[in-house]
Amino acid sequence: MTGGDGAAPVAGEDAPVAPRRPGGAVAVLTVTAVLCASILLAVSIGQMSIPFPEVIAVLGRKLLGTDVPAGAGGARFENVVWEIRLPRVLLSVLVGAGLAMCGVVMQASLRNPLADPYLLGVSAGGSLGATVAILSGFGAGGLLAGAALPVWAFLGSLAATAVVLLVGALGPRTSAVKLVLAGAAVNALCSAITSSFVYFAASAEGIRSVTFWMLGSLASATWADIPLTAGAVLTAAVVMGTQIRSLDVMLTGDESSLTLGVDSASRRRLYLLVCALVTGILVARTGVIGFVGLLVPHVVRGIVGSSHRRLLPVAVVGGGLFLLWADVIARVAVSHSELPIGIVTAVLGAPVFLHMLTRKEYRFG
Amino acid sequence: MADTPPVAPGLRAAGVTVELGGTPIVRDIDVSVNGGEFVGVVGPNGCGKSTLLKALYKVVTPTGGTIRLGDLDVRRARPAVVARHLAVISQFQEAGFNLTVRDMAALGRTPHLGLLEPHGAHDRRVVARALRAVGLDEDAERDIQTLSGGELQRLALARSLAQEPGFLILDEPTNHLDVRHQLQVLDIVRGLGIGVLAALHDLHLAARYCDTVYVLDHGRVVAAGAPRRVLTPALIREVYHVDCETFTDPRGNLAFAYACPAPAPAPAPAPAPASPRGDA
Repeated sequence: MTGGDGAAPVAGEDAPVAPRRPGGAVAVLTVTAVLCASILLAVSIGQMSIPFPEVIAVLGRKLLGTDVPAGAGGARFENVVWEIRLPRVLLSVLVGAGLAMCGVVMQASLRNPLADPYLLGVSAGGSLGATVAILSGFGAGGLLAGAALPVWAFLGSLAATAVVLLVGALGPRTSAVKLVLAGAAVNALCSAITSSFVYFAASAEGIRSVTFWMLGSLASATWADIPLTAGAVLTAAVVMGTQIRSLDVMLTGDESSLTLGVDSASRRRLYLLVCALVTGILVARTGVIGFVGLLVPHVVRGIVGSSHRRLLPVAVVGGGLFLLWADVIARVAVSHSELPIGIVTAVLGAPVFLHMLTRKEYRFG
Repeated sequence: MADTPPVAPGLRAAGVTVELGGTPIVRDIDVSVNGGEFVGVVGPNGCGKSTLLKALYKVVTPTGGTIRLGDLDVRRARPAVVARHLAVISQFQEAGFNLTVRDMAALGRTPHLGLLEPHGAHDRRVVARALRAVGLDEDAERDIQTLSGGELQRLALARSLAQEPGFLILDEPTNHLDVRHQLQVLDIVRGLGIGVLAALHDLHLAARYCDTVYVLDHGRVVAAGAPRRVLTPALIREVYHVDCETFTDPRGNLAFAYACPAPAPAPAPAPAPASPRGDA
């Protein structure tokens, strides 16, 4: 029988039943604790180093209204901590969490280890939608900018998803490779169009650099970015949290899913819609940040396994943790300058990913 | 529950027709399996066995026919409802991801659980019992990626047992299994006391386990009845194009001694001329 589960063996039919393993909760709590500590640390780290007690003091004043007297740095620290760094750190956490969640969901529902918003062109579709919005004037004008940009980015992401699926996942013989190739084509096309728009419209109001759209940046984060991003990521995470059993079932294949009562075709459409929505909203804020959606789910799967009860929450928190530190590196790696965050995620992610692929015991797909 | 059929519902399919890409694969087939009965479907490769079963378990949409499981209209019912009563073990098991054996078997509880309902004591007991039944209880914490083909097939059976189905459909359930596990799996299935419809390649297993066999060829039922009455040398020659003799082995089971393949049949798949038929 299952060894060491502590239950007294009962003779006959209903012998011991192993208790539910606590692994999931422990892993989630651990990563969440590390994330909270990391948020505080990340706020104190930067081109201007702010002592940790000052950070605590500022947060205490802002969040709890405690009357801790300002230290030597005074109001200057408060401004940097509260107005510049904290929103940026929170945005990095939200973006990382959202992209990692999309990676988990896309990989399971498409049963493809290479599925993620970046490789399948969903992010590039979003950036194309956003640049179209800006160039056509929908995104540039004052009040409308805040609302219209994410909508257009979402439409771009959705269109890219639809094209990739139509080309790569339909037809007589669908294969994992075909899907990824379709994604690569859509990705290249959308990126090229976005780049040419930006290139020829360099003077247009509100349009950002090619670097921003291709490699992403969190540098312009403000508190105004947080509500929509947080709302989208948290809502999507809660929605997908209700789907963990279906995600597990979908790993077993479409036919098997159906015989277990899960209509994977309709679920897949719903899940990819959620992913396009989240990706579009994130891309509109931060440009295209690669590797998070691919790397984080694989690393987490290697640690806690493929059961989404553990995988989804740990990957969501872990994705936030990963992008938080990637952004810290982007801020401080070069003095008096910033690295595009996409460079950091690739430099951090690629070696880890390559190492994992060489591990014999690891094979998804 | 209102949709719960009697303890061991029967399956009644009538006039089931399936066309794939305009080609008829399954033509107007009637199948009837009583609760508690073990019914086999045999026939050569490409005869439509798998497609017929897929139509019965909703993976393929038939162009015509009715399918009822007890009181349940299978074609109209939602997959989640059908899955509470009908479990399926298909030929191929996906295992390219690191779930534990227990987690995989526990997926069988899916149709019985609400969206956020955690596995309760009953669910865990059912899963543990299912793993024990197929001899995988010692392997509950193993990664399914380390299982052999035969272990995966037994795990698929455990997952189906965890579904606590009222009816079971098996498509070549003994693929990848050695003799011992072939017998083990079919013994377990037979011992469930529910209706079973199984596509089988091995006529010896069909003869040994089935109360009734349906013989399919070119998408049609060419014979149906008790194995001893149906699986005659003449019929086997007609549908498999193999000469054979049948005899009773020392243990009293119907057995087959095959010769080399018979001379190639007429080139076109024209309907066989009035040859001696296994009486249907």
